[in-house]
This record gives sequence, C-alpha cells and structure tokens, in this order.
Amino acid sequence: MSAVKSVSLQNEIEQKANVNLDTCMQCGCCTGGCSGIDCMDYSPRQVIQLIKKNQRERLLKGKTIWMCVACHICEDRCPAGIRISRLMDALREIAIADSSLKPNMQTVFHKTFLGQVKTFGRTHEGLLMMAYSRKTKTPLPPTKLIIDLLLRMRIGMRPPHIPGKSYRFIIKKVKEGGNVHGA
Amino acid sequence: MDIINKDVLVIGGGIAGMQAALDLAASGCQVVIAEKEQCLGGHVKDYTCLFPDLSDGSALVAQKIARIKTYSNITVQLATEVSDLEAVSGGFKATLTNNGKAKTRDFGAVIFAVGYSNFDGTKYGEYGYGRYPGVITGIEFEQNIEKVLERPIKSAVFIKCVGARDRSKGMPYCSKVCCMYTAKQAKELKRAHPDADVYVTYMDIRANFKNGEEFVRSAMEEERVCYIRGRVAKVFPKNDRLTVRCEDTLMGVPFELETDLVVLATAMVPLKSTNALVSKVGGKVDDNGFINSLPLAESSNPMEVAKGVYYAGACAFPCDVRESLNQGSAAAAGVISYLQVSGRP
Repeated sequence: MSAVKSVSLQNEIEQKANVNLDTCMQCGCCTGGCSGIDCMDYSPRQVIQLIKKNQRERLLKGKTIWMCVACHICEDRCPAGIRISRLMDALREIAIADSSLKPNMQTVFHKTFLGQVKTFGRTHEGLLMMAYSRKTKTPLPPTKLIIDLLLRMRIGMRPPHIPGKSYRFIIKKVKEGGNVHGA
Repeated sequence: MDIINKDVLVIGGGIAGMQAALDLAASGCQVVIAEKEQCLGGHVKDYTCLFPDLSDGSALVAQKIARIKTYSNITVQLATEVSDLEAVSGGFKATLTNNGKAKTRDFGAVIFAVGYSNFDGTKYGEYGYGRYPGVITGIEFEQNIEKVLERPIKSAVFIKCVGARDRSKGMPYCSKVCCMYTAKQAKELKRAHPDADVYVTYMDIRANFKNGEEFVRSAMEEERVCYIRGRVAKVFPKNDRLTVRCEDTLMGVPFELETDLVVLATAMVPLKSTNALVSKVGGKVDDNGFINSLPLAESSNPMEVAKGVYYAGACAFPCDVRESLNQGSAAAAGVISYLQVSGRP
C-alpha cells in the first residue's frame, strides 16, 4: 500500500468533496448508522481509510459506493463533521468518468438517466426503462406490471418533451467546464 | 510574614473551593466561601466510589466540611450567588446575593472554583435519552447508584465520549475523566451482576492517571468487561429491550447488540455563567467556555487568571478529584503570595 501523500486519491477526493479526511478518528459511527451497510463490501469508515491508503482500484471496483443510498445518516452523526455523502458522490463521479472501468448496472443507469436529462430536459420513464433494459441486457418488467404502470400513469405513452433554446444553452455551458458545485 | 488584612473570596464550595479555603485559613487568611447550593460539596458529595482507589467521595467531602468548621476564619455562605464582581483599587468589590438580599463586600483576592455542569444527553437524539427509561447518563449512575445496581439486567452497554470529542456538535475537547469513571462503573455493574454481559464502546481509552492504565486493564482482564472499539450510532427499542447499533472497528464488522441498560458517559461542560463573571475582573474563557489561566511565562502562579484572580478545579477544564484538590491548594498558594505585604508579585 502506498503511503505517499503528494499525488493521491486523498487529495483528489478532498478537493472534489471539500473535506479533510485527516479529521477522521475511525470511530465507526458512520458504519453504525449506515442504511446500506448489509450490501456493502467496505464500510464507510473503511472507505475513508482506503482513500487515505490510495486504494483507488478497490474502491472504484467495489460494491460500496453503489450500495450507498445517500441517506446522509453518516454525515449527520460523524463527530468529525466529515461530509461522507459528498465523499461518496465524489467517488461515484470518479468511477463514472473513468473509462477504463467496466460498466456496472449503476453506472449504466447513471449515464442513461443523465443522457436523457441532457437531451430532453427531464427523464421519460418509459424510454428510460427500455434504454436501461437494452443496455444492461436485462428483461423488461412483466407485461401485467407494465399495463398497471401505464394505467396508473407511472409511465406515459406521450413522446418525450423537447426543451427550448435556453436549456440547450445551459447544457452547452455545463459541458464546457462548469461543475455541479457551481464554480 | 504579614498577610494583608483583606478577605479572600472563594466562589464555589466544591472540593476545589473547600481545599483552597482550608489552605488559606491555615495560613491565617480570612476566607468567605460563596456556595450557590444549600450545602457544600459540589458534585463530589454524590460520588460514593472514586477511581482508581475506590475511595468514598462523600466521606472526603464530609472530612473537608468538618475541617472547615474548625476554622473561625472561614465564613461559609450557602445558597449565595456572586451576582456582581468588580476590580477596584486595592482589590475587589463582590455582591453576594442570598434569598434575594444582596450585600456588597470588599475582598483582596478572588478564587473561581465554580466547577462544572453535566452534558445534556438529549442532544444526541439517536441515543434515546429521555425517551427510553433504559438509557441513563454517567452522572445519574453515580447519583442513584444503589437503584441502578439493583436493576435486573442481563446486559449493559456504556457509550463513551457523549458530548465530547465531537466538533460537529461544537464540543471538540476531551472530557478527560469519562474513560476512568466508565471503567469504574462497568466494574461496579459487573460486581453486582457477575453473569451479565457488560460492554464499553469506545473510540479511545484514556487512562492518564496514577494506576489508571492498570485500573482499566483490570476491568477488562479481571472483571471481564468487554471493550468494543466503535462509536455507537443509535439506540432503539426492540423485543422489549434496547438494541445498540455500532461497528466493531477492530474487526471491521457492523453489528447490533441487545441490552437492558445503556449508560451515556457524558462530558463535563463549563457553566454558562462563568464567562460573564470572570470577564468582569479581566479573566477570559476559551472557545469551549472554560476559564483560561494567564500564559505560564506571564504569571507567578499557574492558577492566576488576572491580577488577584485565581482559579481551581473543573471550571478551567475537566479534571478528577485529586487534581481539583491539587489546584485548590495551588490557588491558595497563589493568593497567599499575592497578599504578602512585601515582595508582591
């Protein structure tokens, strides 16, 4: 394990998420409150330690960052005040942006979802369902359920909304180099 | 040796204040102890078992009170608050209020021995203090020890650092004594219920006292108290008992523990009134609200807060009984040298 701190995952995460990981006491309160802990391979506390030990591969290829439901309990209870949810977001962003990583169900969903938002200004549940199913090669829900969803207007038959010029301008600006934290 | 014929005001009649008063009186000073409660003894009068030697705090307090009674030059004013304090030329003017009646007197020096308050456990909603009867604080354990030890428990969990080392709640400091008193309480519980499972959940173990490390180790090794490294995230009711949710960080395993009693090792917090009072005579409190002494190189006595003003005890930082007594004596020494007619520092 590398102990070199100069060029490191810790620096990258600390800048992206605006946190100071050296305030972590490894107390485990985050893990104790975590909603998704039963599905994770590393606990939130271990994730912080792995970041400090530069274990990029383990984190980006592991299950934990995708099993996080962003409930914020960890962040709320952390005695060091570490924004663990933001840290998880940062890890997910790094994973999505890393083209060398094999796609998983969550990254495909993320890209499909945001792809639709960029194009249509909002998601179209029906198209999203079909695109996701095609890309992940997983079956659509059973016909009975689809009819039920249609009847209860959870998915619509109407074609997707096409956004106006001002929206496309915003998207263009964001692509040119804005970031989600507004700087 | 001439002592200036001026009275010394000791604000607070806990063990630090009582010790200071005794040392001052034995050296010939006239002392007034202003104590806001109906009796002397502060917190320690409720502690029947002190770490690590398991001596009786209430007996210690009784001994100090008995000695105070033998000095005609100590005046004890109970149910009395210092409602105003002013530095004037040659000393201080203090207004002592008792039962609504205020009286202003002159003093040559002042010792702040106002002690501490107990952290409010309800601030951690996730621990259920105030909602579940099975959740008590460390202070309540001490004050109701017989009743607590009588509870029919099969399991108990102590949670340390409640109200301390938590910068997200604005309390970054370590309350120093909780690791020790928790080990003591865990031992007491285990002795009363040898078949019960007693757990202490911790982030660290700070046993920086004489015989402290040995004391905590004996809780683990002889009494078989089970120490688990992990800060508890929440306490909730289940199956008519309480469940505690945390991670065993040494094993890297999250888990839940069913228990009957949860004891929150709450921190010592400063009194809110201290800042206002000590500021009136040139004293300052730190970011946590505890009295600051002068920088060591600027004072002739380590308990000096400002000219003629000294402190003793937990009002300056959490400390144990022995340390409070040490500081009481140190403050008395500071006042005595301050009041020397010749060679005034």
